[in-house]
Amino acid sequence: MTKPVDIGHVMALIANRAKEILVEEASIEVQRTDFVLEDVQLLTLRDYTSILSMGGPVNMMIAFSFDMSLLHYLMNCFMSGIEFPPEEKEVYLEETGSDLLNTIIGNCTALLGCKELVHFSPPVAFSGGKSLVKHRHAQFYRTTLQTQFGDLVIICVGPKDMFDQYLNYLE
Amino acid sequence: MTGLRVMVVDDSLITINKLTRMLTELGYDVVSQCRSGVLAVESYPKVKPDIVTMDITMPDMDGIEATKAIMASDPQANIIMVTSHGQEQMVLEAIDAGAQGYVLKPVKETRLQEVIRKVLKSYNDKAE
Repeated sequence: MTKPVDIGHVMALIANRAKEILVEEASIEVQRTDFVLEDVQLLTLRDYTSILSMGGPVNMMIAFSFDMSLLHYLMNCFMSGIEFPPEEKEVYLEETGSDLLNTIIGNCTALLGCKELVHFSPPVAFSGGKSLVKHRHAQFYRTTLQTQFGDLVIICVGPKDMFDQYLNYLE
Repeated sequence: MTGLRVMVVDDSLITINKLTRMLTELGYDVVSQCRSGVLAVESYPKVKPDIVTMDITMPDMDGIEATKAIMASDPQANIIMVTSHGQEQMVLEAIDAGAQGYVLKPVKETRLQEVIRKVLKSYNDKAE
């Protein structure tokens, strides 16, 4: 059986890759990184959240929660030169967050050092901030990347079978 | 224009749009866009593209399974994986499934063009 990957290691890899991609793809410099690698009791989601689950040695759900202003800026960068109907803006905002999450997590699978293949699910996205209070057996970790356009909060919660795809606790 | 016809398979609208723009700029004709492996397998025999770009992580049927299904129906198919998944084991799995090329997201136009050229050269060399 494969040894579970250390969550602090996973969070650091994701945060570093996120910083690189923000610079490469949107010329956004992260001004400050707030690492909270100890288990936190409360998570507050921002305006838009994309989430996926990782399988194998990383038994966690990973979420990217965006301030609207940052996600809006990213969407404009990613969709530069591509026209879409104004009524589809909401869809493209969600797609932007999910695309970024998928890219960063996919890239990180190569950096984890696992012999076992690391699978992850397609992302799902939802809007609206909400707060999650930690249950006894759950684990919450958070890193906040602050940029001039708003924050990207990277969240790991687990074990993943305690939650549905919208981060609600399962009975 | 190269005149070559491309099918883009990806569940991300952002990636579909980005790849379509890049491929069009490179002179390719994007004739089909599919948002799942199931749709790609259904569309492939109708569209008969020269090249398929295939994502791996998708709902319904992933890109590895879709590649196997397309290769089973057309062993001459030219499939290039375009995915964020960078693990070496996944690259090997894709090659085992029949993919001839692998491009890591975020996609760079020069890398995409380089891989397409290699895949087509290999295809043409075999045909001669």
